[in-house]
Amino acid sequence: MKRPTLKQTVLSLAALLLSSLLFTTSIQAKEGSCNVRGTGDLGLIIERATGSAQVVNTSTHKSLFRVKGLGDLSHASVVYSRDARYAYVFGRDGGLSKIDILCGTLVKRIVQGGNSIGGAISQDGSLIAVSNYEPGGVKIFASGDLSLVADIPASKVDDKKNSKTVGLVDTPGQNFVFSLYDTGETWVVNMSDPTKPNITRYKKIGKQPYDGLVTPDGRHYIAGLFGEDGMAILDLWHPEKGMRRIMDHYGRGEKKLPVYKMPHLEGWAIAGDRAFLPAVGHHEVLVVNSKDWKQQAHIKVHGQPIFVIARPDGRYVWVNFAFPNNDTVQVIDTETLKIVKTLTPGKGTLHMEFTPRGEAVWISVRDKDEVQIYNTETFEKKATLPVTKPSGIFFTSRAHTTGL
Amino acid sequence: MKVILPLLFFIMMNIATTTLAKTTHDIDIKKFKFSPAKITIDVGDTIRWTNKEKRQYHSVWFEQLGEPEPQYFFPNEFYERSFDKAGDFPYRCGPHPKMTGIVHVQQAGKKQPSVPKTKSVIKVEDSSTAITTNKTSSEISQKRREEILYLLKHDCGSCHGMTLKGGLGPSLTPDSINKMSTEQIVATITYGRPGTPMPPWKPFFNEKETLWLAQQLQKGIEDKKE
Repeated sequence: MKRPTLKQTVLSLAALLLSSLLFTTSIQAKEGSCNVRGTGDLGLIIERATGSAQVVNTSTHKSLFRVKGLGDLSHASVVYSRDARYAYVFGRDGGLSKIDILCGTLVKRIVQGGNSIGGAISQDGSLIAVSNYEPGGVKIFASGDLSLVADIPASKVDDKKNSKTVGLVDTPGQNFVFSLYDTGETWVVNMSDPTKPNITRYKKIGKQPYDGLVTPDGRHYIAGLFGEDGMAILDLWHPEKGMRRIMDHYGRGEKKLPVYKMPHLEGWAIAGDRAFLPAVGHHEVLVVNSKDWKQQAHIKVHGQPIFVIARPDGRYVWVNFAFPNNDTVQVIDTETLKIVKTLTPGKGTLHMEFTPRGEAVWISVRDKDEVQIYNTETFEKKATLPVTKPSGIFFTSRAHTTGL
Repeated sequence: MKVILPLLFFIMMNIATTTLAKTTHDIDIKKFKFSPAKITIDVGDTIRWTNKEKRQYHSVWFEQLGEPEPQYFFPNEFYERSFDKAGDFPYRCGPHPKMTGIVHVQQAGKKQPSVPKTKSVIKVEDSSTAITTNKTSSEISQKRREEILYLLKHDCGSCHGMTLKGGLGPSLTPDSINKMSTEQIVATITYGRPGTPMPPWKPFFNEKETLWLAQQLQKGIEDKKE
């Protein structure tokens, strides 16, 4: 083999340099007004009062776009397409909006029901399911063009109404799982064949399931009950065993306080083999063994918890609270079960979201019209972003998490 | 006559007070504590527990007497009970089991041993709750009205929807809410609806404010854009 001459080497080096220069320029070029970049450090913040959302960058703490025209977002949630470019926003008014977060544009919006509570994206990313209060049931759409794939009405409450549906999540095997608030059921819908939804119904799971969640491995679905003590659990590895009750004795003999806001079971705060849950009607966080689902402890906290979420590494659990204690956030050490920090972001502290690997947490403070960003090790406030009446914060790392 | 009548009245009053000679003792409830937690009183005396919290409600429950838990009472309300038997009476707060207290009732020689037991009562000392910023009794200030409507939109709205068209809770628009009378709406806001997630909002609104809010809902809330 002939060795390359010096001239040849220089030429090829120059070519390499030139091509890499060209390549760099092409990365920086924009597709119209779109950002040509990955979305791994992006997210969406809901502005609940104005029917808008801001696209934010979690690396630079900057707002990139404001997307308007999303309808009534007094209760809203978001899921992401598996390429993490599109966000699907579920609004209170039954609106389902698809947002391109690279371009900051509303791609498509449909009003699919009268009153909805949340949604989920299927395991393969092809289907979007929406859980509706009015008309009670679940509708499933194609994630591409939002065309209707399946309409699943819930059990009838009376001649006019179907049960409200809550706690809708995706689980492995192309399933959607949700609960029926008025009739106390949990349904598993298999969408392997989108033309033939296959429904398994679990009845008498308990009174007034108000929300549901799935463990990060997608194995256990748990419904929280408002109408009675305890929770209902389904082992999706063994659906034939049916739903069973856990923590039945919780709260017995202790009078519940009035509940001014329903807790959320979104996400499952798991640290080691301990799971942390909001207690309903008590100023407590419950600690449950995630192997046998027995209650291990309860931790006295500042108010009735709304969100109980673990930092991604599971070292700490962060908790916010219901009205009238919604100005505070507390941090629990998951080893000692002690409160290590109490922060007061301000009235209307509604939601918290960790960056993908948990070095920072973003907290929405409704009455101050801002989102505060904290260092999760030092608890130091690093930045504040102006956001109009912020509520839910949703980062793209959710795109690859079952149940979110 | 003119002189004698008041005098007679004075003497009668005097007799009445000496024979009954009931004393009312005060216990404050603040920061999740009964203060004092231990108290010694004479048979026939009354204790008045006053809720001095900012917005937390409590109850005084003589659980060990096998009584059902009494109603909660809210900031600026009090709970009264008189004791006609000697003995030690431990009690606790219903929603907060760690809050405990004890009443030691001793025989008092010169007093009538058996005073008829008065029923325990909850009374509102001041109709405006602690949170109420409005001091004038006849009018609700513009600022307070705005606060109430803000709370309606954002906090009631977490169940009823920010546009009040319903969510987990029912719609509160005039065509839905006018199926109820004003009194029913006021009662629902004040005491909540047992068996549903609707909680009592009594700690946050006084009677006038509740009535005003009920009337606003009947008329319909203008959806002001922020």
